[in-house]
Amino acid sequence: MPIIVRLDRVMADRKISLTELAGRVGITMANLSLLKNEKVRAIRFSTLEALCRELDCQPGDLLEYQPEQTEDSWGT
Amino acid sequence: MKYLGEKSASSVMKVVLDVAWYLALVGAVLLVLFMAYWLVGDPALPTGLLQIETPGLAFRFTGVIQEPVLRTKFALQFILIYLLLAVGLLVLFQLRKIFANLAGRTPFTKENVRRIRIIGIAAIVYALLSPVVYCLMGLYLSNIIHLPGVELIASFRLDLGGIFLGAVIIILAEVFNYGARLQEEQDLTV
Repeated sequence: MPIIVRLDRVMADRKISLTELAGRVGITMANLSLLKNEKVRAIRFSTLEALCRELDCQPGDLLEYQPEQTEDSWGT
Repeated sequence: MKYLGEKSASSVMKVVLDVAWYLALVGAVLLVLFMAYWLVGDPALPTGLLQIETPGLAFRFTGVIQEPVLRTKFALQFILIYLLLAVGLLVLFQLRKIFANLAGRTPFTKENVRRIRIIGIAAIVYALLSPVVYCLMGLYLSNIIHLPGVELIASFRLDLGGIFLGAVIIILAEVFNYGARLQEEQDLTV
């Protein structure tokens, strides 16, 4: 998927553990772990808002768009 | 009243269906033993008396003349009845599993969708099969039983209601399939 979750990087910058963040955001550690490992299909605005509030960051710090690399007909 | 989850109407239904399932299994085994007894022993029907029941009314005839029962033909009738019973058992089994799921967790699972679809198909199979089986049984009985002054005629009546019911259940399975997809989306959203 072209959307990359950079939660682990922001968490490392803020020196916050998964358990602590899950408690502060109000979601389960299992769900936060799924988000961190990009195993989810969608994220609620309320979750994103809580993450930005607790990590003091912008949504763009947590999510990154990387266009999928497609090979052209010459294989280059 | 709680309909889903633990200590709900679904959990009560699960227990009822479990009991019905084991009783039906015992019944199926007894039926096989009964057939074996008749095939090995003397497969003669009680002579002289015949009772035909319709909803709300029973006809009892005396002085019935019965032709000798052939074991092979009798066994064939038995196998036909057993086919219907097998469809019934299949439906009962699927219902048991569905209600076990409803008593435990969300109803919208791919497993429930599959089971509901099987019940719908089974309902159509039963609706198509039962008139054939009953007609063949009617033919068989009308050939071996003779009543003075009474004509026994085998009849065939298509069970349109059963076919319609099966189609409705299959469509409902698709509704559940849609629900299962939404549930999956919901489960993968944080």
